[in-house]
Amino acid sequence: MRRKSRLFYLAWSVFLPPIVIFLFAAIDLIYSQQNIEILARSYVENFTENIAVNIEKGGYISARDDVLSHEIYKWQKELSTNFTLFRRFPAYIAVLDYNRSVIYISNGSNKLGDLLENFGDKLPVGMAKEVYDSKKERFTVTSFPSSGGKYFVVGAISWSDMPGAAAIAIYIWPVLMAFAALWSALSIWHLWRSVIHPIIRLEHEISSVKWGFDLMNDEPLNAIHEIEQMHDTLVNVSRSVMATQSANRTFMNDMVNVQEDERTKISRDIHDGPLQDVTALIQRLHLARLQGNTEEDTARELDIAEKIALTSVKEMRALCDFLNPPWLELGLAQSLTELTERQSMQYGVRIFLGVDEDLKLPDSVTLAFFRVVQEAITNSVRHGEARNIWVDVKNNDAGIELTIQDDGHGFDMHESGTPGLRAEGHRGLSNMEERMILVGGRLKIISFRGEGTCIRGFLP
Amino acid sequence: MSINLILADDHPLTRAGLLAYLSKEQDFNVVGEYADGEAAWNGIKDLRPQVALLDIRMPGLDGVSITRKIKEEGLPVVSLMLTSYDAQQYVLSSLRAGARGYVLKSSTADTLSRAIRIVARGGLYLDSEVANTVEEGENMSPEPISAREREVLLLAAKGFSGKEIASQLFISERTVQTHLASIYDKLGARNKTESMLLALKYGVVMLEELLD
Repeated sequence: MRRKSRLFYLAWSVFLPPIVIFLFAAIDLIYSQQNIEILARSYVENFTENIAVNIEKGGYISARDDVLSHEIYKWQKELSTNFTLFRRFPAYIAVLDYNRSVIYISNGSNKLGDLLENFGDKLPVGMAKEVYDSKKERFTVTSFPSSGGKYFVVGAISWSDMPGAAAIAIYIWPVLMAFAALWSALSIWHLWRSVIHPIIRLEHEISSVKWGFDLMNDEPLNAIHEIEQMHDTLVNVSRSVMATQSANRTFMNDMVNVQEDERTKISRDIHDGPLQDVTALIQRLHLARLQGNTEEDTARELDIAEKIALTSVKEMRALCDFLNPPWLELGLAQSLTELTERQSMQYGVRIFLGVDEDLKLPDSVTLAFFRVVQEAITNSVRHGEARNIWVDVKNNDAGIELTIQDDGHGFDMHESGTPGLRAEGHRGLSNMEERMILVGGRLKIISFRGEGTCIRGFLP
Repeated sequence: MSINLILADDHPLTRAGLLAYLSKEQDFNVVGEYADGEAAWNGIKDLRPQVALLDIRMPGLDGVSITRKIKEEGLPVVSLMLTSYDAQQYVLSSLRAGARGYVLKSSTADTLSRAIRIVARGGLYLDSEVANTVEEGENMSPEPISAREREVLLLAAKGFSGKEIASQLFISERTVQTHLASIYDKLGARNKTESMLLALKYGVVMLEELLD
């Protein structure tokens, strides 16, 4: 939460300065617009009033037009030098008589003529005003009476004629500002869309994903390449974490199942073997103690009891040997010889063993080979009903090769190999494979229905 | 009057021992012996013995399944379970399947004979090792239990939980526990299953009551 709000503040600290600058610039623009208007007004008021005063003082009305226009020009020049911004400020002057008919109008002032016609009697007096003419042109206009109301001096400036810096300030500056504002808004939006929002989404995704159980959403974020790359990497990580976890779970599951299977098997072996034997023994002892037995009867029952006890001892010894063969420490050749002889007798099959006598292997490898052979022979007899089994261990330059071949009726290999067999509950084969893999080797099972089974292990 | 029997046990040594027990009794007539469940079931159908001695665990059909089949087909054969397991749950499931008795294989010849005679007469026999009792003779009678306690015991025997019994009898779960504790005391049982087996043994409840 804290980290998320830091990103939020960071984004705002990027967005805020341009917003503030634009805001101030907009306010400044409005103010300078107002200033220009005020300047224009006081300019118009000043020169119009001055001309009105001069007319009253000098009685210019009887003078010629050019005297008046010279006076106006002089004022115009004087005033405009005070305001560099309005260096060539276009001003218009008209003098009207008491009938409101024009007796003088400055050069090129047909615009002013239009304006005067528009106004009629409602000319602003004293205070300058912004007005629009019929063509929607903007003017600042004022008028002053002169010589006790005999004349009216009308002064005006046209905004549309305003050249240079003033025009830039008034018309181009707002457009530029608007463009810049739009441009930075677009940039900010883009930054948000392809950097900040994807990062927030990614962070959300990462914190909500259950690693090892969920895959991350692999939909593209529409972000910049680097973030997409990061996202892809995270998706791959989530995939591999899930694969690893699921492999771990399968492995743990197998471990637990194998343990339970083993316990069940041992419990069953004890129940079916020693427990039944001892029960039979008790029965015989009961029989031996029955009233009315002759000495012969008792002796016979005790005889049977002894035989049963011997059988029981033999069975328990076989069980111990099966669980943890003591002859393993004699080495692979002796272990396998002992194992195959016992299994051959137990199952009534022929087992042909070929193993290099002086093969020296670490205990863990000996145990792995021993268990693979034990499981393979049991499978051959139990599932393949084999009559002959060939077990070979060869030591060549590449490594040690273990082969168990039988003449049983084989089976059709599952398409997906040992994982498929495992899924169907046949863990024996996959256990053999895991035994070999654990000691650094590999195992291959070749079988076709009706053609026997060949199991080949290899340890480099 | 002799009793016709069949014996099914997959272990040859114990089977031989049991046969030796049975041969000591003049009135027992073993008409068939089997090493697996399927063969035993066929034997029961063909020979219709009075009593079938069945091992609970056998290859093929197990003893409980054979008992259930006997009951389903309505055969006039009484089954008596023989087992090495003294787990009370096994006893219970065999009784629910319709067995009339339960004997451990390690019991004496006398015990086995007595059990066979009792079930052949239509009685119920439970091995004393299974339902933990001091042998005090056949007609040892426990302290009588109340009608309410009997109701609670029957519902518990049918597999209802304390909560379910409470809601059926409109009493609190605590009261159910109190009733059960009192039943255990009176019968000398240590748990629900044992109290039920003892109740059967003492005739406090009838097997038929449990089955419906």
